[in-house]
Formats: sequence, structure tokens, C-alpha cells
Amino acid sequence: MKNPDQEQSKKNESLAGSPAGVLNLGYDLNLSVHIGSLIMPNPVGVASGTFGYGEEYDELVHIDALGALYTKAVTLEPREGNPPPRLVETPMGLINSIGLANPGVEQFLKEKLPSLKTRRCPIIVNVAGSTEDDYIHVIEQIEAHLASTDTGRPGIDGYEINVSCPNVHRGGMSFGIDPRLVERLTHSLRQKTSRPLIIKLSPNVTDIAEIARAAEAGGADAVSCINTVVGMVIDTEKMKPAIAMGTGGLSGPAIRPIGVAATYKVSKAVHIPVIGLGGITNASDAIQYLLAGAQAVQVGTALFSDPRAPLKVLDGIIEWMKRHSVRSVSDIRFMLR
Amino acid sequence: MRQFNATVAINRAIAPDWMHMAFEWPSDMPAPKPGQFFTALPPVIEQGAGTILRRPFAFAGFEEAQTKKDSTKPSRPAYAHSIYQVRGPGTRALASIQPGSSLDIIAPLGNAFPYPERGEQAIIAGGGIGIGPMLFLAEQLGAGGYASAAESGDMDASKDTRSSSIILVLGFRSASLIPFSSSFSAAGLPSWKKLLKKAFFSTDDGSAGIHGTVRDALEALWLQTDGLKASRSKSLVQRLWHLYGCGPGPMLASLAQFAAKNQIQAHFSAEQWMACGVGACHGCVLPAVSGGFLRVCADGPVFDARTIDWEKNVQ
Repeated sequence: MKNPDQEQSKKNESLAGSPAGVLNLGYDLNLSVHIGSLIMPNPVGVASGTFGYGEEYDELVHIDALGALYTKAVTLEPREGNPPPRLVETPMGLINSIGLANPGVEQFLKEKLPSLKTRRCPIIVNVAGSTEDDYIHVIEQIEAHLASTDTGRPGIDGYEINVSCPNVHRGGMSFGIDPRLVERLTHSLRQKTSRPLIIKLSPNVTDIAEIARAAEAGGADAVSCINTVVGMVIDTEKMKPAIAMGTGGLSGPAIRPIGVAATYKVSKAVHIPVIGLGGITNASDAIQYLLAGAQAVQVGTALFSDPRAPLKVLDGIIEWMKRHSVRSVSDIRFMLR
Repeated sequence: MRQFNATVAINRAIAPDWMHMAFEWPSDMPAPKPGQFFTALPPVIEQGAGTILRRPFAFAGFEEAQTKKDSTKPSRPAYAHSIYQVRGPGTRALASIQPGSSLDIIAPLGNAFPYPERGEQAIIAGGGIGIGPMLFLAEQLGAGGYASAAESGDMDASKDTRSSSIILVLGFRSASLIPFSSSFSAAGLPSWKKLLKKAFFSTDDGSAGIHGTVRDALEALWLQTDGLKASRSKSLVQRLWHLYGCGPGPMLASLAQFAAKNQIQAHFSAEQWMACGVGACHGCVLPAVSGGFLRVCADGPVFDARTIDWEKNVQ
């Protein structure tokens, strides 16, 4: 039996990228981000649904150097997901309708958690459900499991609550568009865990700031902003939608201005940290989110064109901070003129 | 798997809308196997198209590096080959790449075709652009002691009694679309040319080979070998066919039916729209016979024909 820790460190030696939290710049540069009780070593995470549970990218990405790994969504029961085709490329974007395909919380704890425990970056488990009870039970099961195995790293450092998936029939986005439901759900989940709770907001609403305020009122530690934008492509020869479910979630550079505007609006409406995402491909994209008010960012769809994108974004943020004499990444949000 | 910048050595047309690409393969990486694929990041060149995804392509051949006798340094690097069809802005951009340019590659990805069992007859069927990985497989099986059925210049499979021979069946819409023919001269790997010479063809319009589909060609071959089997052990020889396939969805659905009807082993390489290419996003799935879905990139692209619901996939 191989020691996963040894395996992991051996792999990291051969990969490019600076180890988390260690920067030889000759002067102090504070890249850390506080989300509730959690300190992320840097502001660049990988977005839920684009990075699996990490293993798939092991050979391509120096995962330990990430600011955070947001897992693929975990639901109470296993989900097969939606029928194919699930994807269609659009100008500077991608529409997906995966349908939260995942093994369910029980298999997640059995099969995915062991490798997550070996990571040195914070692990945020994305949780999805159809009913309030679904979300509660997922977090209860995870917390019970962590309480019973209290040795070593927990492998789970927080939760991102997916109340905004456009690709499931029931639940998902129906929570994310109703501020009362968001507040009640957040409040219920708050009773179940002391780990950071991040509510992932949908842009498919009339007033995203209202939903963010509801999450804050319910006790959320942060909000991530934004999930995908509902979109559709029609094949004009076949005269039918390009993906099996008809509509799906649009991601990629096409939605970046929507995400930046939402982040700008939400960060003015709440006091908790905002984690910006939507179409971040390079450092300049990420810095736009940080200037708009975000304290951290996530890179998602850009991984599909270049798995190195997240760490390139991080390098670019550091370079920008040096060039503009910014000492702390959390100061960037006050710098918008 | 690894992400690397490869120098493109060849990128040229070999048939209408078909390109042959070769790029330098890193000397410290194991050779790709038939069935495996790579993803390439197309340059963004087309106004308004704005592609962002990598494109997946099957390997169609591999040339080992060449080293001179009294040297440890290779005199010529290893090359990975692929053939691809220009279908949209991404592949149009790839087709415009000049030899000598650099291309962002992730490889090798996915699983490979299993080799035939001892004594099995490898029947290798490719349709359209799906012939790429089948040429690679045919070449490797040929090099591994398998001989083409028509090696001796004999195009009649029924006269070939060697169980280790391979039979290559390639289907096209029309003769004019067959690469390396007429205006497209002699471009390509020498092994492809050899294989194409010995292949059985089918065309939808009857302009070359059998008039019909790859399935029709296989049915004809099956009948031919049936005659052979009548004089030998009929059931034994039938069981020994091992069908390999790659091509459009309807072709694979039809071949799966053929394999099931005749109770023969079959492995197909499948295609699906793909985003990450490494198993993370669950975008490129196909319906599984056992329920649920399988990822083409990580569970495949090569599947035992019985595991995928090919009919459902083409509905």
C-alpha cells in the first residue's frame, strides 16, 4: 500500500508552481483570504463542477498551490445526470447541462474524501439538493463522518451551497431566486456546521443583491458570485436545441461582464466576503472581480482550454500587486476609482 | 498525461476537408496506443467565432524517434500523427497552422483498444474520419505479428486461413472522399498507404468497393468466411471474429447490432462533444446499457460494444 502523502509530495516536486503560502519576493505580500474561520493561502480557487474532486487533474495541475478547491456538487442520493448532448460551445462561452451527476454523499465520503485529505489547499465541498432537507442531510452526514474520524486533516474546510444550478428540475435554482428560502436554508445549515458556509448566487434573478443580503442574514460566511447564466443554442438544420435539455448554464468569458457587475452590486450590499467567478481566464479578469469588490476568485471554464489557467492567474495577480505596490490582496477591493 | 507545447511537423490536406497533422512527441513520454486521443487548443483566428475549448483527436499513427548508431541523441524526433475533419471554427483554425508552429497539446488521454485474444481474427472497421484510429490499430496489429488478409495480393478473405491476419474495412460516402487518392497524391504515412491498398472499401454511392455501408461490407465478408467455415469448424471460426470499430454514431449502432447478432467480441471507439477531456466535467457522456452514463474521455473512448446503448445514442 502506497502512502498517499508521500506520493503526493513526490508529484508536487516535479510540478511547476510555488508551494502554497510561500513566496520569496523579498518583501511581505499578503495573499491570504479570510472566509469565516478559514484562511485561504491565496485568492484563486477552482470552480465547482470544472475540477471534479481533484484527482482528474492531478497530473496536470499543482493542486496544492491553489487557493481553494471547490468540489463537484455532492447531493444526498447519487445522480446520473442529464442525457447527452450535455455541452455546446458558444462564442467565448460554453453551455452545459450536466445535471449534477455525482455519486451521492455516502460514496463521496467513501471514495472521494481520502484523496481530498491529502491536499494541502483548502477543500470546499459544493452541496446541492432538491429540498431543504436534502441540503441539511448532506451536511449532517459529512459532519457526522468528520466527527467520527478526527485524526489528521479533515479534507473538508467549508461548504459552498449550490442554490443556483439551472440544470435540475426541482430545487436548485428555485431556492436561489427566493430570498426567504435562501435565508431559511442558510439559517438551517448554519445550525449544522461551524465550518465556513458560502452561498453560491444565481445571476438569473431580478435583484442578486437581495439574495446576497438574505444569505448574510441567514448566517452565511461568504457568497460566491455568480453561477452560470441560463442560455440556449438551437441547431438550425436539425431545428432542435443543441443540448438534450434544451437550455443550460452559460459559462466562460462571455459572462464575465455579468459576473463583474453582479460582484460590484453584491459587494456593496453585504459585509461578508464575496468570491467572484464567471469567465475568469487571465489575471486581468480576476483583478476586475477583485476591484469590483471580491476578496477571492474562482477559475472554472478556463481550465478546459488551459489547466494551467488558475496558477497563471495567481502569478499574474502577484505581478500586478507588485507593479501597483499593493501589499494585501484584500486591499484590492478598496482600490476601484 | 501531460500538457506540452508541440512543434507541428505536418499539417496538410489529404482529402476534401480532411487534414493530416503530425507533431513532435516528447522523447521522455511513452508512445500513445491505438484508441487513445489528445486534445489541442486551436488558435483563435476567426472573427466572432470565439472558440474556447480544446479539440479532441484520436491518434492515427506514431513514429518512434530515430537514433544513429554511434549517438545517444536522436537524429529525428518521434512524431504523433492524426487525421481530422474540418467541421467548424476550431478545426478551421487548426487547419491554418503552419508546420514549425507550436501547438498546446494534452496527451495521451483515454484508454486503448485491447489486443485480440490468441487465435482471434481482428476485423478493423472505420467509417469516415473514424478511419484514423483504425489505421493506427491495423498498423500496430500488423507489426505485432498480424498480417493483413490480403498481404499476398489476395483480396479474397475466404482464401486466407491464417487466424492471426487482420481484415481492414473502410467506409466512405464516395470514392472522391477517400484520402490519398487522385488529387491528394501520396501524402501521409507509408504504413497508411500500405494498409489502404489492402483494405476492403465500401461507399454509400457505390463509386468504390462495395455499394453500401461498412455493415454491408462486413455482412459480405461474414458470408464469405461462412463458406470457409462450412468446410472447417463453423461455429469456432465465427466466434473468433473480434470486431474493432470507429465511425459515426449510426455506423457504430449498426455494428453493435451485427456483433450481438453474430455473438462476436466488439470494441468501438466513441465520439462525443467534450470539454475537459480528463474526466472532471462529465460533459462527454454516452448512455450505458446498465443505466446511467459513461464518460467518453475517461471511461473510454474505447468501449466493449455491449456496455453502450448505441441505439439510444443516435436517437
